Amino acid sequence: MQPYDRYTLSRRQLLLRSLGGLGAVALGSLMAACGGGAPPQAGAPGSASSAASSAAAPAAPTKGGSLVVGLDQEPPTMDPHASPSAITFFITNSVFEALTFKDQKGLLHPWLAESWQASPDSKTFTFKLRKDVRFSDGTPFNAEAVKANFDRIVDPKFKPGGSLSALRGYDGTKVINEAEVQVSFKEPFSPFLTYSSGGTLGMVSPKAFKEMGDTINQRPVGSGPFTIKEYVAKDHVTIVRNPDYTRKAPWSDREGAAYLDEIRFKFIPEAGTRATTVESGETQMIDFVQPQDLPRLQANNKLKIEKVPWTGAPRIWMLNVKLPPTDDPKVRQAINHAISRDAFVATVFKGTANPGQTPLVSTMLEDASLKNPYPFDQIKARALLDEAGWKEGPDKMRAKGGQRMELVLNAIDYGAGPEPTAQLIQSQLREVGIDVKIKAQARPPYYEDNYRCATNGPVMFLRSIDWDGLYALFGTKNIGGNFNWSCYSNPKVDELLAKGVAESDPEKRKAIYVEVEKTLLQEAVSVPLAEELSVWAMTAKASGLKFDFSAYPLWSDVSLAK
Amino acid sequence: MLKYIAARLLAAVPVLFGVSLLVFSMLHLIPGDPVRMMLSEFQSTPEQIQAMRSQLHLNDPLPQQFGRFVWNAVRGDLGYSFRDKRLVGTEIAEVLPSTLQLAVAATLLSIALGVSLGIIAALWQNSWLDVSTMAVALVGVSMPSFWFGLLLIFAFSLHLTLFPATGGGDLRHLVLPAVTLGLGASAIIARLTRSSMLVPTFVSQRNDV
Repeated sequence: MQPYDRYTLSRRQLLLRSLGGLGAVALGSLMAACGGGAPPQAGAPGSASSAASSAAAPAAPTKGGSLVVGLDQEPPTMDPHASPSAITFFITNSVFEALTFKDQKGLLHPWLAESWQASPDSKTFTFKLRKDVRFSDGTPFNAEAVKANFDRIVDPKFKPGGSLSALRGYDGTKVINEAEVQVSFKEPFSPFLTYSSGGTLGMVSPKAFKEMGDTINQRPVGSGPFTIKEYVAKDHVTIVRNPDYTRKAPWSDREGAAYLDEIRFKFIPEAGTRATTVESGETQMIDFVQPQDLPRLQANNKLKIEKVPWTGAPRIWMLNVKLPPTDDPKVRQAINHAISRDAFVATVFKGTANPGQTPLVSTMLEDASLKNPYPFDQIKARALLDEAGWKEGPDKMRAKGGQRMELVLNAIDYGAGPEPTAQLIQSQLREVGIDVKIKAQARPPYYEDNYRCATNGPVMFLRSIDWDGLYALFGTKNIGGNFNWSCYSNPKVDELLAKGVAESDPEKRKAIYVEVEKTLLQEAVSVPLAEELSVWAMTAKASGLKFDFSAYPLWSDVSLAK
Repeated sequence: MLKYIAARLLAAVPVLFGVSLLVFSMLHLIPGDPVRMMLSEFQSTPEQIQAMRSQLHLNDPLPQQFGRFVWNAVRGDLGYSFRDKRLVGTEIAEVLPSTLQLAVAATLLSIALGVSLGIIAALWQNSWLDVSTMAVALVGVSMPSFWFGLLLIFAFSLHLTLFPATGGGDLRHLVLPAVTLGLGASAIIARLTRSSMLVPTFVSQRNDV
């Protein structure tokens, strides 16, 4: 969640943040949740570009040069299999290649695998591999290397990051021949095709992870257009062009090596300082532009802004369906009508997000039946509350049977104040007579309350690149764990979620998850608030920055005009 | 002097012990389970949680856990960072040179500036020089260092582009952080120096002690 409330800069707060930092970030390309650590990402309302690749540069790209990029945090490791943190993949997705590539529209493309085939029961996946790939240490990429990579992740002696969930139920990899592998799962697991494109399953040179010991965390070896040159803790990571890269990266329209000689990623956690560095030229590009800095950077004609939608669940209030008064569907529907999403986008996120409507962001799962299910309508909200028996008292607040209508909102606080959406929720619900108490707390008790279903639900978000993210959020098995914090249990939804992981046809799969969302919306299990955007600011001379489906940047086509 | 230093160092031992005991106990007073926190991003199984717990000896009684921590720390083993996947000792050793560099630079700056300003203020007591020096010192003491740091970045990195806002390594990188830290301390030293010099019985008082 990264997430995250980085509006202040005292060392103490930075420290607190970094303590909570693990959670704050996206989990690899897979999923990560956070109570709201992540500060709103930037973007003007309606301006979220889904094809937010770079603005077209008129001139031919310049070769050579080096770029300094300011990142909001230091990656805990450069090893894609070990990292739980999105920031790792901001760098490593151009150093390691995966079997497949998922573009910003959500389409799967060949990468290290030339083609693939899922078995009808979605338990076995066969990949035909490229034969012309070597890791930058000379080790050939082949079927044995794929097997070694996947076996490494599930090895009990290895401490995996997000990669382990990408191999849920892994049964083993069979080498059919040099260029063909079969990956098997104990249960149907069709999301594996999506996860095979994620940064967490990037292919690392087996020679490197067998021989390097702990230093693999600083300089792991891949086969992509860049290699890691140096890693200086608390300061920077430098990647340099891999001169031997002659292939066409799946996001590119050309063959051959990267344009830039070198990219240095500097870690600049404080948002204001980060913005300053791109204005002064100390960096040429920064991530995570904050709402308060965006207008100034946008007005600067030496800079340009790019925005990419994050995938997964939006900033969302998971309503606890077990605890009164949110155990009543009418109350939950009333809350949904009483919340103005536009107000969130205009005030809290200041244009760094779009209104949230659905449990997965609309760029990920779109269907006419999911459009604007709960328009802002205070009259309807009041009527629903009346129907549910919560009558307005003399102080305009509601009560039923002498009991005042009170909700407890679980809000994470990393040291710089609670989850930024909490107060706006509080004031909006007060207008229809609901009293919201904000329980602002540190990460451990915040999680503990979520596991115990002890509040009326937390505000959180979840990064996920597959519709299967809905299983983590609403599957009965994930109550008391991660991340069914609505404590929602519906046999019909469970059955659909099980069908979803067993279905191999993408269209039929989509229909299943649309059905799941329709049910979730009808029962108003959550209050989607805002679909956040990853916002970058860069010198106007830079062009060619591209992104994958996870909204992670890809560096090989970036160039700097002279 | 040596005796004094030795005494201070010895006195630090119980303080360190006390602090580590307090921090250790606090961690266990907060609700929540450290292992579930560590694994909270993942859909972890109960077996994984159990395995991690026994690996970290979290099933042992608390005094035993604390004893193990102290015993290992005394022998120089500070443990393994779950987040960074490296030895904590290695991590500290890596950043210690930067910390020392900054601390030394800031201390030198604060002493040089503080003592000279204090002397000037005391020598010309109640003159405009004294008043203005002490006014600056007052502002210096009152201003939080992170705010002052931001102002310096604003002026010297953004507008004058004289010094970088981030990074480390050479003298140019050291200037802004050293001034940020050193100036606040120099304000205190300046006030101390001035008042020490203005106490008429300075010498006799020292002897009384």
